[in-house]
Amino acid sequence: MAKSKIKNNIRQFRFENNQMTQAELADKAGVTRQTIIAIEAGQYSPSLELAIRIAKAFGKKVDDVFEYEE
Amino acid sequence: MNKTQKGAWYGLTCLTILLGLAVWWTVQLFVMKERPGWVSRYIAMLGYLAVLAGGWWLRKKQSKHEPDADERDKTIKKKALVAATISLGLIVASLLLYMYIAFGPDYSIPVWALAILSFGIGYLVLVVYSVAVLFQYGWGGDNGEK
Repeated sequence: MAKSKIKNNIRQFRFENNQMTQAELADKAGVTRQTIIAIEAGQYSPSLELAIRIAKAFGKKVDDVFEYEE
Repeated sequence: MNKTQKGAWYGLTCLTILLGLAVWWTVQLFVMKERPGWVSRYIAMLGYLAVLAGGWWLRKKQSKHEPDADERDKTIKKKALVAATISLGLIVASLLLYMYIAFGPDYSIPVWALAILSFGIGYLVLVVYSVAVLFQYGWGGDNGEK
């Protein structure tokens, strides 16, 4: 799949949050681990709803976690 | 692997096993004109058991909170369905064109051949669907998994 223009800091926030695993984040966001892997690798752009759920899992705002690359 | 990936592998494997067995038995019964021997029967039984065992593997989740399908899985399934539908059209059209060119417009086929053709087309479409799902996931390999 093509790389998306949405960049993210999920990896960094996972390590800042007690080295949260991709599986733990997936459980918190209500998705499968493969989806977290794809988002983290920039292969999939999440919906707004999922982006909010991921940001909430870190206690952050959406634009702290995701940014649009011009 | 998540449930959608497993479902695609399961579909592909089961269909291939079942088709292989059906072809094998058909050849034995109608071409070689002999009843399947005990080796053939045991292998068939093992094939059906493998299909059933795969059903258990399919139900197993990565974690107890894992959803059956999330938004990405649904998008992947939708795209695979489009690919399968397009392939159905292409397969039927090319088959009709081939038969028209090879046999002419007034040729007719027996009913049993029509049944085999229908199952064959169905099998190909399901293979396209499963392959399209697996292709979008990167064949369930590492895919950057850590």
